[in-house]
Amino acid sequence: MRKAYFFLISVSLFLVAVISSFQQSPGNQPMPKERLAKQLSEDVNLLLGQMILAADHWEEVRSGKRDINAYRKEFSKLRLAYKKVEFLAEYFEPNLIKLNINGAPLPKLNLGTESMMVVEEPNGLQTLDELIFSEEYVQEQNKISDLLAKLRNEMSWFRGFQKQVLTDREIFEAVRLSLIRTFTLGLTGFDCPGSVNSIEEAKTVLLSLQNAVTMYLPYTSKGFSSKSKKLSSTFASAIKYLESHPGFDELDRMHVLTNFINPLYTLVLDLHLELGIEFKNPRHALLQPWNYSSKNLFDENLLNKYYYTGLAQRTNRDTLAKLGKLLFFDPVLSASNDRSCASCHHPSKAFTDGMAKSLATGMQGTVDRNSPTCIDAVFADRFFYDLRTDVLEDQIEHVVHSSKEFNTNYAELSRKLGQSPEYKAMFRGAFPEFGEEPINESSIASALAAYVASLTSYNSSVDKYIRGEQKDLPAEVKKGFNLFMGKAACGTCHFAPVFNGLVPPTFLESESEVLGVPATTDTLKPRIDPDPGRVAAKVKERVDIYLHSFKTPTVRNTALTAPYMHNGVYKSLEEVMDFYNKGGGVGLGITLPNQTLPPDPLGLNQGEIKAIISFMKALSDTSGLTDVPTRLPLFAETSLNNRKIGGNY
Amino acid sequence: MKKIYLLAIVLFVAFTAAKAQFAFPVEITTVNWGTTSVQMPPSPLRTQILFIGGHDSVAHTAINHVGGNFTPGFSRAKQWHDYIGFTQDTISGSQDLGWLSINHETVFRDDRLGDGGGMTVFKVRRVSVPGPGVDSIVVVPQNLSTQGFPNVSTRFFNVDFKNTVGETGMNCGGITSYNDGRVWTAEEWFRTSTSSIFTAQNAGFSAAGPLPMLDSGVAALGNGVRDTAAFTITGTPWANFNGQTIAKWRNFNWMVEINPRTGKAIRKQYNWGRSGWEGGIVANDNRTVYLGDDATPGLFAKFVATTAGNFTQGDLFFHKYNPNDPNGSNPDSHWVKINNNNLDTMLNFNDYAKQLGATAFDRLEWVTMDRSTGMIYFTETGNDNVNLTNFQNVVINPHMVQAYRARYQQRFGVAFPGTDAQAISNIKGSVDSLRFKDYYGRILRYNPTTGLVTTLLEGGPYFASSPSVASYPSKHLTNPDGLGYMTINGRHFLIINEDLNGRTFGRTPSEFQSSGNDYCEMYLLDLAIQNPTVNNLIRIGMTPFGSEVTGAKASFDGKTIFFNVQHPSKNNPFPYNNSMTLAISGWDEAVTLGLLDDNSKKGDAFSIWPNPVARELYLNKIQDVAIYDATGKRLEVFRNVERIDMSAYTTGVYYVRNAEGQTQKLVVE
Repeated sequence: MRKAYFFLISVSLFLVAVISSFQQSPGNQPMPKERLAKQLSEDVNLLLGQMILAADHWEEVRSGKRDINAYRKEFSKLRLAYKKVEFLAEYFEPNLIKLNINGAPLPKLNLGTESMMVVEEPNGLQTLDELIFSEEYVQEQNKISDLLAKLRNEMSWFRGFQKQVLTDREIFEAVRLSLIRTFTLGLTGFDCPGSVNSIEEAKTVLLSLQNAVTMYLPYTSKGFSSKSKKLSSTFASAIKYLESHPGFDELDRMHVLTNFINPLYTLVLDLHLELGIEFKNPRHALLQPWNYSSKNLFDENLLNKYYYTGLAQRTNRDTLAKLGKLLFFDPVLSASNDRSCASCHHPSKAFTDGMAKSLATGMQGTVDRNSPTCIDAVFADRFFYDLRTDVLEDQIEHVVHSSKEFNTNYAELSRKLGQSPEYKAMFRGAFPEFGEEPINESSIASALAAYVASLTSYNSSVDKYIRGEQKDLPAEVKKGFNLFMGKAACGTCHFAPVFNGLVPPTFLESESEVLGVPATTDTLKPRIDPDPGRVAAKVKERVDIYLHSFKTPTVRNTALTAPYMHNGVYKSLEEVMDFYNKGGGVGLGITLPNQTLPPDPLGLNQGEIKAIISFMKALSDTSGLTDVPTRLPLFAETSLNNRKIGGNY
Repeated sequence: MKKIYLLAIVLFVAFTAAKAQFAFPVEITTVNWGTTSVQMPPSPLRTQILFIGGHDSVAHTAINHVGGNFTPGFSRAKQWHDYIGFTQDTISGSQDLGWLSINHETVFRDDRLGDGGGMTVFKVRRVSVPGPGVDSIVVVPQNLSTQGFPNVSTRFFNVDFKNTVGETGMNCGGITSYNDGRVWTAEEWFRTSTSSIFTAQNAGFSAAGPLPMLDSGVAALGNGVRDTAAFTITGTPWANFNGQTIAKWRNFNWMVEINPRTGKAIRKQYNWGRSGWEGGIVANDNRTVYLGDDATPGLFAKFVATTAGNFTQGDLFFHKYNPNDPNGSNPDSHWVKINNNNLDTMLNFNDYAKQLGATAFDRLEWVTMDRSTGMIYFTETGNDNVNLTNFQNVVINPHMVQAYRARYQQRFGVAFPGTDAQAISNIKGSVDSLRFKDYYGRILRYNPTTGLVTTLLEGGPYFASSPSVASYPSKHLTNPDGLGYMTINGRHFLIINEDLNGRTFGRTPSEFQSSGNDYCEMYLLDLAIQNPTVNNLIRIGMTPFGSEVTGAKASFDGKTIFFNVQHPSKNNPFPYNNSMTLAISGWDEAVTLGLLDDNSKKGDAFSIWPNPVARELYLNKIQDVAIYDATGKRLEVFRNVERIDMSAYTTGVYYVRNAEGQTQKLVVE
């Protein structure tokens, strides 16, 4: 009995020691969220102080009292001070950051009412970075003064952060969003076009994330200790790697992604789970594209694809997709019964048709633009080359109504499909909410959208390698990836991981770009393709900056989708690369004041171009997506039952 | 031995407790403010959907235009529901409540309903239903074949503007006269050229010249008004205007009277001047009409009829603050009369008033009135870019100087060092960084006995009087737009609707900063409160993702608020992916039950009330709490809340525990 007591007492003492050690290390100081809030407040003060210095010292540069190179260093310090608070600032005020603090150095539409549309001139840190580090800084000195004054003014709103109440959940979300941002935007050179100080800045961001995450480690259990160590060592080696980097053009981004970013992305999630901090309400989370539970930037579930459709709340999406697949290949949708969606979107060509512009109905001429792939098309906030519709379902309306395509309308189409008992039964089963009239605009569009949304590809060799499911990747493909994400700047518009214009890390907005795509391949007398693009689409976007602006498509499966660009002007990827390497339309000699692609040549050599093409080709994956229905539903009108699956042409 | 086990268990518990630094771990529900449907308080309030845009069928009269010639028939309703006019049914013996007139704030070409915006009218009745005293609203079928509609009984009727007064565009706010239920619709769509009304021609675009036509896609054709021929004014009471031909675009931007009983447009109010009108109100004298202009600078105007109830004759004024009468001893000195017998002056009223030094408001939206006091209330919704450089003659009202000073202090941490004149010069100046950044807007009050406009309630966060940032969104106000008035059991309330201009600068809680959708809320404000702050707002509810809440109009019996959901996100499930009109009834009971009283007791001691609770539970301060059932199972965790909606909980005993581990027993009934 005594032994038992003795044993118990020693165990107790041990436990008490353990408990007190627990309570002491983290327990004697404020909780991480409070410490971070305090630190944020201090960092904002430092940033605002640095901002005042940057503005004042610029005047000294102007009056000759300060050397420009010394000033450039000082400006970079301002950027670094911003980078220190970036992960929280971007989380709490993403729209302000984009518009006035660190958005792309391009004019931006600040939405107001239609009569009050304001195009804001380029402003903020990126614009200043470009000007201050250019040779023309002397000619632009007035502008720089104005921009610094404006930035100082806008940045004063950061004082709002000093009153921000932080929660642990938000901090973890902000950290993981920042990991995505740092890889997809920061390291691609997206946001420091002049100084190209991207790697130093990425390091600063990682230090701020390391600081935040480290505060939480003392609260973990013993079972987590190996992961805690892994977290610490991965942060440390990531930072060390960036410190000793060989230069912007040479940085091995594939190494950074697979060795640092993705492991940290997973480990921070593990830490969140370990601490038992709540997640965002799953019902609300469904209404956001980014899936917090994803474990890898190239995970199949990184994005909630149904966010981009009206299907997010439905549970029978598979049933809808099956019905939608029949509709997709059924020429009965067209007035002439000889044309289906598949007429321009062949599964064998990754749902394109190999033509510059698809044939119009009755083979009379062509439609206006090149047929885009349907694979991964769902990953977009807006649809069509000119971004004119908001949801995948509405995209189909155009094809139904266009005299060059289906040349019908939803009322007629609903009536016609209703004559097939088979279709009617399927619609009734899929859309019980519509009762005895299940075939209507909403149900037809929902079914087609469900099928198109099912066409997503995540299993190219690049994806598998990055996820660690495939041992290696050809050196040339890796080289291509590094160029794509770095020197060639492809990744600053074709954002990873979808490699389209959907902007990470929130994936809320699809971008369009003005590239200056020519009408023909004539390089002696190049002229702009007359298609106005986005400017002619939405009334509230009818501003000069969107003339000849087109949605940035995905480069996934691009090996299968020739010819290229909205007008199909380029037959091969080599031609496309040559166009970009020359600086787009302006580089070719076209006058185009609003081109968003930098007009300077990229300076890629043939080997580099070849590597980038190899990388893009390695992004092909249509597995499981290409099969065609073997039969179509029967109609009471027997003549319709001879229709050809997929249409006659 | 038993003791040993017990001790071990106690130690084990102590050990785990010590580790649990993050008060309420795992699998919990955070408070969900966002909604894909309409969230309104539960019983005794009942929320109903009355009219769904893009879905419900609307009857129309014969229409002849470039879109074709159509006999009376049906089409699907237009979307973008905005203003709601309420016309009480005063016919003796009628069981019906009255007529609702719904604005469509859009420009949408439609062969059968006519191009441009438009209105839908319908009649409603109150029906008692079984249950705890809650009644419900039904739409009454009517046969309006005598008015040219199809000869069937149906619910919704399109107002024909095309074949009467000319198309309307962007029917936003409007006027309902409390005196007799007359209704006007406002056309905010400020046009400047004929081609700009047919949007495919893209007149505003300079660099590219006329755009090539794309194929027959809707966007390429343009959704604008197709009939762009010059408009000849006929049949108006203003003889000298009759027969005059004006460019089509000048026939937009008027207040337009309609008759909700017949589904007919009556006249464009040419004698009230052409401006980007958004809201208005007829005073108790049935002579004075106050009008607000949604622009920066925006006008505040009034029309005074010669004879009560006859708005075709009278004088037109615009507000021009008179700095020599800062205390309002001479109200007339703040108004400038303008000749409204001259068609040219009326067509250019807006420009003339600005040249003649009208008070510059920053986007006026809706106007309403406290019927018991005659005080006029209106919303100034705000605008991120207040740029008055092209309007140097306008006058800045003291309320804007005040707001400028307040925001300066909040932003830079020090008081604005200059004089009022310097503040005005900054507001009107060309230096962008010194101008007024009016991110949040406010509610204004006009006192007819002084002629002065003052701020009733300043929107936005970060003032000393503002609620803590952490209490968003239950207590905040941003970009107020729709404004209504309601009398419930003798108490007078403003009904306030938000329409966010953006998500920046604390306009939405951080939770929604990284979501793609705005979300807007509806509040009541008790007009008995002197100098109210945002803390006095009573949150009624919010509308689906991506939508603005608008239309706030109360039935005269104080039982029902009618309101609209406008432009919800298409990602919401049906029917919440369409604009719609709703009714929320039971307000008389809500007031009786004390639901609208200010519950903001404060204190450091952990307390919860009311207890027992049926609906919302209040906490002594903003904090994290978890709710446990009687067996100790944790049900939900809420972060940073000071009130919790308990209506989904079943009757029984629960425990509420805060982050410090203090626990309170709670009974849900």
